[in-house]
Amino acid sequence: MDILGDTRINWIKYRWWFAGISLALLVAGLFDVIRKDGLRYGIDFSEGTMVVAKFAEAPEIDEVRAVVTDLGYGSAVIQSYDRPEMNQVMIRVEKAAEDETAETAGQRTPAAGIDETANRILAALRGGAAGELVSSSTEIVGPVVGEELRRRARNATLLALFAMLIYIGFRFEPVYGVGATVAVIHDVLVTLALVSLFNYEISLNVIAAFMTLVGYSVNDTIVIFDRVRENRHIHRRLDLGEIVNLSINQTLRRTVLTSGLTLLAVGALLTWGGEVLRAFSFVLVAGVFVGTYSSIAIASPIVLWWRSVRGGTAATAEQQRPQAPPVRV
Amino acid sequence: MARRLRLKAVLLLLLVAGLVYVVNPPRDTLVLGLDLQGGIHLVMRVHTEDAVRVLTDETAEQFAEHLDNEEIDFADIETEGLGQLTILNLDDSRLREVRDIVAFSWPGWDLRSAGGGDWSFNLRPSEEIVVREQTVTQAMETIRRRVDELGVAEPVITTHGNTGDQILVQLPGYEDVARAKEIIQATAQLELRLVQAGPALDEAALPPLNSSLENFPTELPTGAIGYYQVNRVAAITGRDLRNARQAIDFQTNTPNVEFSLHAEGASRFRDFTGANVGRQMAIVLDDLVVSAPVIQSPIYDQGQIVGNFTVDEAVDLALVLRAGALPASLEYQEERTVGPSLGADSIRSGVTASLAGLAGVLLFIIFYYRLSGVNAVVALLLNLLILLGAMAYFAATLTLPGIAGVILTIGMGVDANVLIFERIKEEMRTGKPPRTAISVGFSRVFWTIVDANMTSLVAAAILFQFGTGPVQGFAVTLSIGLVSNVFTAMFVSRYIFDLVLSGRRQVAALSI
Repeated sequence: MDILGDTRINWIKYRWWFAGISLALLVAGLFDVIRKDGLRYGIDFSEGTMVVAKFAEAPEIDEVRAVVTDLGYGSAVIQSYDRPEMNQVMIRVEKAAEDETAETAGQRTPAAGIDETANRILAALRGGAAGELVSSSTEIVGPVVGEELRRRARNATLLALFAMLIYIGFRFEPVYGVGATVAVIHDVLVTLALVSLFNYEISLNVIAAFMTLVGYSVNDTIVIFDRVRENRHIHRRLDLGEIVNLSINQTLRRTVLTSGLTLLAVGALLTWGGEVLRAFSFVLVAGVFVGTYSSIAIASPIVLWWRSVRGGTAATAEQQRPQAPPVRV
Repeated sequence: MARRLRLKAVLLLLLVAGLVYVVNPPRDTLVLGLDLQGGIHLVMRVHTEDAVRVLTDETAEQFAEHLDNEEIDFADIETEGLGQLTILNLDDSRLREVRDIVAFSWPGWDLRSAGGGDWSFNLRPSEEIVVREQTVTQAMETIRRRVDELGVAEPVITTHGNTGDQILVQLPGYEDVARAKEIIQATAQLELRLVQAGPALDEAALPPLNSSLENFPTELPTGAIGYYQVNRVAAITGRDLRNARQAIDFQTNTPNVEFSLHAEGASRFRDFTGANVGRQMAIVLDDLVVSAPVIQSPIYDQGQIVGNFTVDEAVDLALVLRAGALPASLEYQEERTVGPSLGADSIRSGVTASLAGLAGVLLFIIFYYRLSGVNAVVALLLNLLILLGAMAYFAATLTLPGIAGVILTIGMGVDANVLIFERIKEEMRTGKPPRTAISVGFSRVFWTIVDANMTSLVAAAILFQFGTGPVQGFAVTLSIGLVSNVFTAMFVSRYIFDLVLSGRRQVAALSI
């Protein structure tokens, strides 16, 4: 059984269209980020307010979450607190944006900001949807991901990208490493643009989703590059553009199947996974689309463009690839 | 052929049995995260005044040394309180020079005349706040390193309250809370100092103290408390350590902690021990002398801490020494259990969605690839088992996004099978018989799969090496997923093909 016949699409012909689409998305995202005063970071990254509320009867965590989410605190952390018979719930929410602006304007003390957030939550809880409120206490808490953790994560990620570039450059040719790396950066930026456009908040889980996206995108790119590498040996008469087209078409069935199956898995998470997994699975769904698209639309054209700039065919460099030994497993 | 197949079958069955053993029962080995199970909620206060006191003492010592070097006369430097020093009888004629020294080396300090030739030397309040804030930040980093070493991934560690000196720590799971608390709280200030006198049962029995000596208590073999008099300046501190691990002393057959030093500390240690052969060296841990061995010969970069430890105590001591000392002592103020941050409904929908996604992928593969699809499904399920087994082995913490991540790894793991099967089909389309097509298909995609997975593996290795906590956890899970993915696709799937086709001489068609 096959999903596709043999395709002969001239992908390379559309490369400027692809570049235009990507650019449009990036510009739209950039404007959106500027308009919204930066990306939205969740409780993991910002200072927050911690409210411990005591109820008359054991509250349902999901009901408390519904009340807090309605107030616009997307990434609230809600846990039962102390022994179960105490009927206490601890709610951690990020500092709301208006609190911060008020504070930087120097009009209010930080404590006033906390009380305001706490009062909003308590007022909503008193609405009664989650049971009768008995008493409460409020504290300020710092970000879970501090400056040091952030700095190290950022450096590690940049180094990891660089290592990928080197590995691919070594196993294929340097320009392939550049193509794959640019495609990955493109994917991260475009997905960030989508995150901003669709109003999702960035949390630790979303960061993990981004890292997964990077792995997926590189994997997809390498499959096509590998076919290009192979086809250059088989079809020595064809020019690189034709070889790239041929390789993309030959691997298209695999591309559609793999991304389709991965989408099936993350699509289920996005549809049925509930509030908590939504941003995480959104990034993954977007990432599968963008990662698949960029292998064809960004990575391959970059390799081709580089060759046309340098003019040469440089077929000799290709000979140095280690011949795959026969496999016996 | 048949014998090799049988051998492989035995190996595979052993692997599966081992994995099932590791994973089962999952509750004991896989820790569920704060979101799924809840855990312990600790609020602690950092005694930031400790750090200010250390800074005050250090400043008194270093400032005196500086004045001596410049040959500026003064009688003594006295410590009046936290961040408050008095320099007695300072040579007023060289005040300008002293002010330059202060401006250059101690910009956070104020020098004011206290009358009668005495000068007060005080830490500015704004500077003291900075020192206290840094102490809390450092304490949080140390706690994070220790918790990471404990193997508890995904803790919450952050500041608490508006006094600026409280830390909130949430750890998943309820087991071994006492140990976790002790490991977090251990100050772990290690110092090696030269013994001048002792041990004596009474401090009065030791020679009188001066500014370069200090007395530290110790527990004598009889169980009584004794005292050593040692040099105030430590030869080696915990900062010089490169590594520490629990070991067994061959001579006494008792647990101890072996440590190694950084290059710079090692050269200091060699000079120190070389100059003091035959004398005693006190190993001071948190202001208590644990042992005072005699220096037999110059020691380079290795050493061991012998004390009256149990194995568990030695393991924990090595852990806190590796993770570094706390800049100030901690005091627990609050300990509560907290429930899972996700309600039962949220957990159910998350798990259901993950399983539905997995089922969808598996069903589609069987539908699309028929009998070969069954082969792929077996490989994927084994992949899942390997991943869970390895996570249990590494004591990883399973959170809801973690579960989703595992499912995603499986979804992406399909790629290897898809690559192989599509290649086999391609080869069959060119007219090759099934057996040849399988053989050629597998060997053609071998480098594709290796290159694709190696690239991610290289990235994961870098993330593990340079990342912290959650980033490292991600790198470990990713690496395991990648390796088991290559293994199941290239080895297990191939094996199943061989096994199925081995009974038949001529294979005309393949269900793919």
